[in-house]
Amino acid sequence: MIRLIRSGFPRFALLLGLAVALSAGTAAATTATARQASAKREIRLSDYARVVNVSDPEISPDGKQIACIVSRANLKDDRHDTQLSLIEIASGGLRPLTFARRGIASPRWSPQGDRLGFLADAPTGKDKKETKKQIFVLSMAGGEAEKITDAAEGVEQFAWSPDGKTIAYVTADPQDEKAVKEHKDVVKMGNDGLFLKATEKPSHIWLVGADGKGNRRLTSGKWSLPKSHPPGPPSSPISWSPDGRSITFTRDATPHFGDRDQSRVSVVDVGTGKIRELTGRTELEGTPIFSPDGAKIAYSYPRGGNSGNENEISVAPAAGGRGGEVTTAIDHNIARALWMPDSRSLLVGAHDGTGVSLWIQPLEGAAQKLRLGELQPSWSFWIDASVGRDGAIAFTASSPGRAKEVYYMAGPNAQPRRLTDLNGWMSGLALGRAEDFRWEGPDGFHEDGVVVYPPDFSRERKYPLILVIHGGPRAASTTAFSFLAQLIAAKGAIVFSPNYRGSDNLGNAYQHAIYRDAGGGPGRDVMAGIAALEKHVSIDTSRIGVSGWSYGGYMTTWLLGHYSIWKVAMAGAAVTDLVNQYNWADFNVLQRHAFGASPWVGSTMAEYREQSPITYAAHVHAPTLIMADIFDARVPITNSYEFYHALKDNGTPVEFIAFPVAGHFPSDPVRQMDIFGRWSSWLLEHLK
Amino acid sequence: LEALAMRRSNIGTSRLLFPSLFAVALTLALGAIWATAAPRGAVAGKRAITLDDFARIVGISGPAISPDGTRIAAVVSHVNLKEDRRDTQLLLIDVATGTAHPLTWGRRGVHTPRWSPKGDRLAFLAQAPTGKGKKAQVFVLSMAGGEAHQITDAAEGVEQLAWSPNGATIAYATPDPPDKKALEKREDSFEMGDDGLFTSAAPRPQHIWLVAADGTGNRRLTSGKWSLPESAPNVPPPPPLSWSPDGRWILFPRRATPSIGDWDQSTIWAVDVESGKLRKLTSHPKFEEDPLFSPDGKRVSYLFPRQGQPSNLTDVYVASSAGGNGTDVTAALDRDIGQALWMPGGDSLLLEATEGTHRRLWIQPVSGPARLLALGDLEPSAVSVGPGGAIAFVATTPERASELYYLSSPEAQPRRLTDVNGWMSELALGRSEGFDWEGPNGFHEDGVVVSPADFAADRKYPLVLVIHGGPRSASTLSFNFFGQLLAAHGFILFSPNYRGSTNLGNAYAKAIFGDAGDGPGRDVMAGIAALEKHVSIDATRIGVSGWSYGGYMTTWLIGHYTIWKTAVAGAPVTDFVNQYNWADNNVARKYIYSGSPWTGDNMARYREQSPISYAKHVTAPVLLLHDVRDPRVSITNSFEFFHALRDIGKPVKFIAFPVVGHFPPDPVHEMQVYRDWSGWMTEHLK
Repeated sequence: MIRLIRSGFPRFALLLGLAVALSAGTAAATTATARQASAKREIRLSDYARVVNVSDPEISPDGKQIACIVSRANLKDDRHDTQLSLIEIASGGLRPLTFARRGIASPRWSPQGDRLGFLADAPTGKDKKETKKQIFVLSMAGGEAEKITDAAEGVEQFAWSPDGKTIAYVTADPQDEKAVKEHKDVVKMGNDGLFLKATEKPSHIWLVGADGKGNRRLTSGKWSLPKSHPPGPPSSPISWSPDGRSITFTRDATPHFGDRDQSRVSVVDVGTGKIRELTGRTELEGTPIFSPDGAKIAYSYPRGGNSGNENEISVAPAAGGRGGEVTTAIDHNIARALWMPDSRSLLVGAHDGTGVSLWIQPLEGAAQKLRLGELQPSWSFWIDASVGRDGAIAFTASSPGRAKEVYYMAGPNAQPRRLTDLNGWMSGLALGRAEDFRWEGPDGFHEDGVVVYPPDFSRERKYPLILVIHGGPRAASTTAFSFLAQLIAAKGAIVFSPNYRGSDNLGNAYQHAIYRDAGGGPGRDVMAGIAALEKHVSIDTSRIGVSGWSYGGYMTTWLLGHYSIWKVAMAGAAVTDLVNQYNWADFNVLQRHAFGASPWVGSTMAEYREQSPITYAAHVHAPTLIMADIFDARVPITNSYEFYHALKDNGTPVEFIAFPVAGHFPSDPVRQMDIFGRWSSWLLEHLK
Repeated sequence: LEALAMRRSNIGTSRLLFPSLFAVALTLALGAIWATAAPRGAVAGKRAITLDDFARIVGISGPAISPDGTRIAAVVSHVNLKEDRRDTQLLLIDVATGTAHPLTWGRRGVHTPRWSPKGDRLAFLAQAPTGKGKKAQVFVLSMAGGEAHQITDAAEGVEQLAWSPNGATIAYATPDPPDKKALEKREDSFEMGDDGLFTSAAPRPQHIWLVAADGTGNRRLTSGKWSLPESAPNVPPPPPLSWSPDGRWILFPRRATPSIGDWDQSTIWAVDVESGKLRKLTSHPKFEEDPLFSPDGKRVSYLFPRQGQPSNLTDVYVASSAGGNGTDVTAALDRDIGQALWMPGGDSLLLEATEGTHRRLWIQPVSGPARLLALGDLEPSAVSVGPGGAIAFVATTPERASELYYLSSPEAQPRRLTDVNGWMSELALGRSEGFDWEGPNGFHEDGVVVSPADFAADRKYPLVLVIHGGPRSASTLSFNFFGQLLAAHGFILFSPNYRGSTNLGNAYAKAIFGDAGDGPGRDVMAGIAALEKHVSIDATRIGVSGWSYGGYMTTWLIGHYTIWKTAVAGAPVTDFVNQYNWADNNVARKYIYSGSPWTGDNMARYREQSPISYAKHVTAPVLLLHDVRDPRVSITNSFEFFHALRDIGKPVKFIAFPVVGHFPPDPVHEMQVYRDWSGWMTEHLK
């Protein structure tokens, strides 16, 4: 349910990509409000395991069906069980296509619609001991899925050729098994993260017949395609030209994560393997995609080439050139673009206030925002949507009171129609009201955030306030269904999730304003939000807690060290020391884009330290719960250790809970629930 | 094997003031020995040492004299390159003839042989052939014949064992097992304490259990949140539990928590074997280690920093077994005691420590001056005391790796009992010598110099420094494989000691407190200046290197002096703030800087004394070597130095070893370290 930050930067703009979207997305037509609460019960921690997740909708070529992935928590085996499923658009009927198969990701229709390709876990390697993602092809005429690859390092992503005969896929060059076996496995370190244990190998494009025959390498070299980690969407999907003669892709200078900014759009000739560069630039480009007529390539690039700016979509002639930005006027940080069938417009999506919007953006002229009501299309540094050949749009979305479902629009002007009913059980819950809240912030910014009220909220009572601050910081809090916020609200607190400068929901100036001002400005934004909220609802100012994960943990630890209103805090996978991030995060040196330079050069170190929460730890007084994954590559646990020692050595009550797993947030339901349970209990117990 | 000749004390003792640092100093000194000075210089018919010779060196450890004094049990280990491990074998050596008889075949991880009090059985620890993780268990071997009997099946493995005086029972220590049910349900989050960066489960306390020597009647003796000391990965285990001669009590060091960062909170306790009741022996709050009952049970010896000051050297205290702090019996000797064993009469102790560039043994009466044992050029390490005051020990010489030696009494001449490394006589080794100079601040200082076997006084040589870690350690004339390898590459090797080293008395050792780099750096530079007057060095070709605190010294020196042509820093401490927060012994650093970096204005001192703060001044090309899962000096230190050098445009290469430990534990990776290190020096100095 928790869609963590995607493991690759989907496009360059996500430099500080630390967001944890603690919302489980979806949409239903109406908000559950306190007024409807009678005969309903409040949400509780165990409900987490009942929330069904649906993702990756893919409209079939004939426009009649949608393939998608349905995932359910399996507490007994502590995993999320996935099923490839098929939705009949006309009837909304949903049926599973797979049963015991694990780790299903990336369903892709063959262009003729007669087959479905997908990724799933398969025993890989000589001794079949390791499980890795491989490509499976399922005939829609019946029969089981056939595994067509046996890539030693697993398949990261794939795409059908237009004639349906070939599949292009991306896999990392294999490690030298013999050397590893003989322990001749020393690692040449580059701009890598703390937990690297083997030399990073480049990822390249291979081709294989759809029947599994004729496997061959297409590209090679020390450069690499950006790494993708399914089941998340590809960092930058490869895209075939409609004539099947070339593939456009993003080329990174090296496979090291810290070099991800050195990325450029390239085109490879499938016949000869010859590669050409599209634009002549050498950095910050990503996600190229051929137009349906093959004449153009849309790709992402930050406005004006400034990495602190919003991500824009540019459209260039497929023959080469830079083309021009087409989304500037929308003035939002575009998370994804898909061509419409006419090749003259794109479906794009981005954060927009406290929601997520979709637009139809013509190549020239103003964008048209789709009318989605209170639906919030699923955002995870990516928009989970599909465009049909007839211009129909399918997407997953949540609403304040209902987790994700699949929605369908016959065209951009149609009303969205809910096709699935996976989370209808939630109508039996008395959920808190989630509302958009706005205020005038400092420095002339009009700001916003989301407030979730206790289900039995009464204007006559005073409530404790708990802040749950989003990560990123290039992300936003929206009114999408949030399990955690609802859980805390059900226990009697008002939950406030403020956006702050650096959030990507209020335009370029707002987003860019966090550059070289990681904590000061954002902190004042949050404090202004609280002051405004206090005038709006009755808050017990002696009972205010602050919390967040990732950059939300940064905000939490920053606010703790700068303001004294806090009674309690929870900092999860918190960035507390930006020097740590520069040296040990998986994206390591990309941190310089937040400051303009390395901490080791000139006098930049002073700026890194001045803007790191750890520097102010001696001022913290609120009892603080720290949580972190031990092998978190994104925000290494080093950050938490520092804050723990600093608080402890200064006599501030602190508890430090570690999860012995990899990842920026645990991926299994038992540990996820453990976190939500500890998070809500710690805050609420200290606010009693 | 002695290859990782880190003393057990690495983790466990009050000597570990710079604990992390302590660890690796000795890694590179493959302990060993040989009785007579080998001919210097190139010798006809001999060949130069090569990297491959590393795999031929045989290790000996854990000697134990039998109760009747006629035999010695010891463990030999051979490098197995094919399987990339060290194969161990328990040996029985006849004292009269030196004949060695193998007792085990193919058994892995054999260590700590212990005779039963009557000498009819031999207990030892070895990797269990079955079970989860193949952890170490106690085995008992009848000397009347027959195979060894595994008598424990401790889920978390056994680290130490001790026979009861009547030979009926064995006391052993094992960590409390984890809550398996919770783990299976993945309810495995845990609360962190003063733990290191790679801690991935709650540290569990280690406690004393009892089992009959036939494997029956296994029972727990102690329990609680406190813990016996636990050893770190790839480090020899802590010293054994000590039974009182009447079998009523067991002495042990008790740590307040199982977190290594709380190692300082260690005190001596005794447990009543019948009732399980505990009593504390002294009034000290911290820093006590290695308690031992005297043979008559009336006294207790233990290790304790002089006057309880952690900056001081470790002395031996002797107290009444009824209780009390007792007295410091080794203050006059003024050496950092590594090991103290009671001599049979109970009136004196056998001590092991470093003095100048030698490792030495002394007999220390409970009152009165210590007597130095005459060992020639032997550099002793592991020691055992037998009946009648016989002494067995493992030792090396500058030109021969480990052998087992024997003294029939403290006054006797040492006699070599084994010949496991006699093959080394085919090597033309470099000459090793102690070298001393007048250092700054009135210190008279020393170090070790190894010159190429074909050294010619009229030639100029490139110089390579290999600086010991610790810093509570010292460079000595013990056999040094890597030093010899560098000499064979045509370098003069210089391993200077420096203030903080343990070989020149208390004032020298404690002078590093609050002065981690500057004073030690000036000591090293004074040593080089003196050496340049002594031998012909090409001053344009000087390289500096070291592991652990030796890596600290290396990165400090290249940020403060410009004479270096190149440098190799292995597992270097480059940032003390890293060490405070993430080393396995983390907060221990508060003793060095009188406080946490997070309180008051201490941070400035931590930074000022960290090499990373001077990285921008580095000009020499640097090779960084580090294990990815080094708990002692986390690889964070190398990442910082790597980025700092790269970002200012200096040549740097960073090689990581995908293994756990402060130095690679296996021979293949160890040889890779030596290859990369010597190769880098050759490339940049030749």
